[in-house]
Amino acid sequence: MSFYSNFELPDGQGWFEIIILSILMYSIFRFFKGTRGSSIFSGLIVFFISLYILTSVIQLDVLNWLLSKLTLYFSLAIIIIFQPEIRRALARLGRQPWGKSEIASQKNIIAPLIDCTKSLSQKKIGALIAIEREIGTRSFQDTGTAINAAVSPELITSIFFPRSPLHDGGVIISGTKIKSAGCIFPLSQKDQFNKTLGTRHRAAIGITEETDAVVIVISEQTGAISIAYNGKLRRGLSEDRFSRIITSMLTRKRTGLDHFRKKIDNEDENRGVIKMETIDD
Amino acid sequence: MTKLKKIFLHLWEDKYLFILCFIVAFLCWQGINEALLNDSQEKTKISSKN
Repeated sequence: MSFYSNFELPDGQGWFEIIILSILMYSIFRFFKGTRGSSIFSGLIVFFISLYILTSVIQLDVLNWLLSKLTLYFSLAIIIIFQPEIRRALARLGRQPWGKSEIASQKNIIAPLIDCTKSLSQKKIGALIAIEREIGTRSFQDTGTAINAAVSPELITSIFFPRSPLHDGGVIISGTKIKSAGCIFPLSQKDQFNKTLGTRHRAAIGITEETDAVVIVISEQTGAISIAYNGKLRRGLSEDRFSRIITSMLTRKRTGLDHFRKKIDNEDENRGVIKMETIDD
Repeated sequence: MTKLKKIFLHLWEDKYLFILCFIVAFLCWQGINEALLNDSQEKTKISSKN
């Protein structure tokens, strides 16, 4: 009985605040869903709620006091545990329309990119090419070797040629130049990708989760062409389809990307999952 | 209208998660409210002493 007496029935304003809090928490849960941290997060929440209810029912005042003091450290722990997710959320926030800046036209790199992708796909040479958009990729560029050269099919093909020193890792294109090669991209931590995708594809998704870069992936085993954007992967594209999508994305500035994002979102809704035909790399 | 329907449908699919969030939010609100009340009570005590 005393457990219930601890609670005060909220007034209209209180209920409104509770509903806003629930929506906020629901959004946070949704954001963490599918990530590695989601199970830790749910575990911590369940642990704290059950302990709080237990200590309140049996009136374990000391434990209850300890629990209330621990909540401060709990919030600190959340920041440490979810550091990658928080970073991703902030990057996404910075990507919103109100923070948008002009993207330099990347029309000039379309033809060489299409040429080299076709050639690499036909030869079944694995490749990972990230095209920087609004959000900078400097931190990833620094993990590789600086190139700073004009985009050419020959250069990209020679970078990814097996046994070349830079073939492991990704190439980053900024503006109309290849800025860096042999770069290390963060791997996507989404559980749904763990068993079905190889490292190269997961790295492609990983960088698109943190930035708005467009990433081209070519499978080493099947030669399949894929495009990753906004944390999603479109696999098994035909050469024509790939040409159309990449042209649309790089010529129409932001609208091309938005169109691609909407298209992928619609397809996800219809199919329930991201299109993945084969397991490779 | 269809957008609103979509949102409600989405929420209905995730009803258990939303209920859990509501419970957590309710408990959080109780804690914060209690702390605020204690704070204001202490402030009035101090002001009445002065």
